[in-house]
Amino acid sequence: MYRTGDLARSLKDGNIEYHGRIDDQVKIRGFRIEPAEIEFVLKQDRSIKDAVVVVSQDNDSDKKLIAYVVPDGGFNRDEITNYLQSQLPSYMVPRLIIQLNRIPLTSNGKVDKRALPDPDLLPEFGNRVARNPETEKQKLVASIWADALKLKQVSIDDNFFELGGHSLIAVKVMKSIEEKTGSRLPISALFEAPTVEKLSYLLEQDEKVISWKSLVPIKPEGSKPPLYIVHGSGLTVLVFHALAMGLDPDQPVYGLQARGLNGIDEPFDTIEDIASCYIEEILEQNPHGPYSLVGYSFGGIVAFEMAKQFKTMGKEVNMLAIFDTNADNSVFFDKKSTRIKKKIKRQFPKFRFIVQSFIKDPSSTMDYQFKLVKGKINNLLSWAGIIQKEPDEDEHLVHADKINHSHDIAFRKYHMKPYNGTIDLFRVKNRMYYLDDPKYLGWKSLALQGLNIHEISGDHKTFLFAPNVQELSLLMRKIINERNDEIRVRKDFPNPSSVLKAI
Amino acid sequence: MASIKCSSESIQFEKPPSVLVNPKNELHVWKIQAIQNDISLLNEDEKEIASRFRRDGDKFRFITGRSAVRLLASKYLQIDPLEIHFSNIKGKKPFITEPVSQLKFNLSHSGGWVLIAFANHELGIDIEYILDDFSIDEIVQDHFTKKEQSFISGSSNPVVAFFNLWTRKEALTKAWGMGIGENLRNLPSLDGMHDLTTGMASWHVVSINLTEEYKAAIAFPSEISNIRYFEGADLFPYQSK
Repeated sequence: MYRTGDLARSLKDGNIEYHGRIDDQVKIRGFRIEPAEIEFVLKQDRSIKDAVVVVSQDNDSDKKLIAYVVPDGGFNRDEITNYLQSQLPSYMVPRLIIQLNRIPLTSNGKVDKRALPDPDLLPEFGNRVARNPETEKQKLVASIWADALKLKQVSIDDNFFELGGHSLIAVKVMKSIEEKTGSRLPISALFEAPTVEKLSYLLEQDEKVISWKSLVPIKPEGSKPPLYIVHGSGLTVLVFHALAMGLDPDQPVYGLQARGLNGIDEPFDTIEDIASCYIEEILEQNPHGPYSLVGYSFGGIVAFEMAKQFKTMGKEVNMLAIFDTNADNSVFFDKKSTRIKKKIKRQFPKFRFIVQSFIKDPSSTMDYQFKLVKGKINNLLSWAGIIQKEPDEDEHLVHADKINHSHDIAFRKYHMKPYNGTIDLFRVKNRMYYLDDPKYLGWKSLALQGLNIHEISGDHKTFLFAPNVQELSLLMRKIINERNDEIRVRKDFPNPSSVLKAI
Repeated sequence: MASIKCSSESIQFEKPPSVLVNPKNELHVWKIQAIQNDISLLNEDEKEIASRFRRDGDKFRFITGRSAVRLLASKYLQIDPLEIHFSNIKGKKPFITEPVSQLKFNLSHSGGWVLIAFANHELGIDIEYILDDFSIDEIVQDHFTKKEQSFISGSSNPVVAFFNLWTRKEALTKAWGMGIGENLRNLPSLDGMHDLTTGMASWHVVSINLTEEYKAAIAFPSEISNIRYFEGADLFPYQSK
């Protein structure tokens, strides 16, 4: 198609000819381009005295054409562009046309390309004023981005993806940030916080969160008895923000995130230890109670154990709400299931169900994946059975995996014994996977004072997000009020048995 | 037992037929140069997105990708290009929300090329321009298994080997709609069969040759029995002004 040394090229659907010296040729997005050809056309325009066209390479795969023109009289960028478009195919029209008073020359009369102004540094090419990084975090993030994206300058409101960021660069950027700050954010945080300003803010928040260890204030304002929500296998509590915002404005909400997220603390491997660690932190913040507990997914088991420990300590538990947790871990105590046990080694049981639903209804499971929450440390280690048959035994587990691994062990060896209280079970309407006990999710015999079942819209993940979260918030407001009232009633009218004991 | 099979194929792009249909279990891959496009196929939101890219390369790739997907999907679905609607979930691959159909697509672009795959199944495609000076060490350590690491370090050109395996992992990530950079380590990428622990459907991951400067891979379920590769050079008629 292209003969070496020959500067003419014909396309199937129209003839384009190039002129000029071959050693000046450049290839831009697959097209060989001859800057001299463009210079020639520019100089034909009577409004232009002189012109130089150069290729700026700001990314390995991205080159762009820049025309520097010395106008003869007035300078009108649009007119020049229109003129070039009438003469050249669009990919040969320089995107940037910069006005100069004269073309800089070297001592031997050639164009001094190094003396041409860098368009990135010319204020007229920024559509808005660049906002320079101010805080230490912003400076760090901006320099990491500039380095990875091969840019000279990054404004703190530039969007990562608009700057040319893509997955490979995203992986690299988040790694550099982790190395320099010690904060490990999920790569998907870049979608939630795509500017230097927002990502730096997130990093600052992350440091605060780490200082709180497990207890995280989601919405600490309010005078009602605080609500404590225990994390699921996502480990963080970011997923509860939408719910927290939808509750009564006077309702304080705290989250409990997994211990070990900072990569320093060792995660616990018994449910009892996890629960008592969370309780310890709650007692520091709220020593007298009463306590309203919520546990999501894996967190439901932990909240259940916390409620029992609170009661043992003589503390009041207003409410124990379980968000779509399957309490049945009997598979791990069934000797016949040894084979399954081996198969789901390292896997939290729910993933097994997701895999099963894959066989039944692949498209809706895919859909489910689209709606998966972003912005959390996401352990989908075993999602869809994506573990290679023999994972190298010596491979280290990254710490989110390590925590879930410990929790998996904890869940497997935990013996569920009945709780002397009522349980509010929130069960999703859209069950994407198979359960042995779809009606009670294994809780019926565990709630000695009654199990209330509440059906909620969505599936195991999406019930926490718009639009479903509105329904959940309204229902939660109602249940929280009811449970708080019940406690008040009990206090005002002590039941006969406690009166008897008091006597 | 369910498995993932990774392999490489030497392929050739054929001239596309004038009428496009997407038969069951057939996958079509389109190759389009990132210089060709038709911005009139973009809706106002997309034009706004295009205008915000800092670099021309990113802008061109976006415009080419979007206008080509619209044009091709309109041919498969026999509908006006602007009547096609896409999902817009941050960080997740877009899919066609309207009209409702079985047609799935996935798009990838890098450097001078845009690749678009169409089928009636979920699928993923990835192309990467091989950045010779890209420092791969940290990514390899974090996101590749020991076996993959030794394969890469033992290759005559580790960077090329890295991009080969990376595009395979990325294609699987996209096929399964997972977020970027998640669980890359657990996605198989070395040549051969990789058994899965559970009974999920089997998948294929195929690396295809483009030019020496690029690596590209497609991931698709094993129900796909035929792949056709179409040259998209004539997709947008060249308009001389």
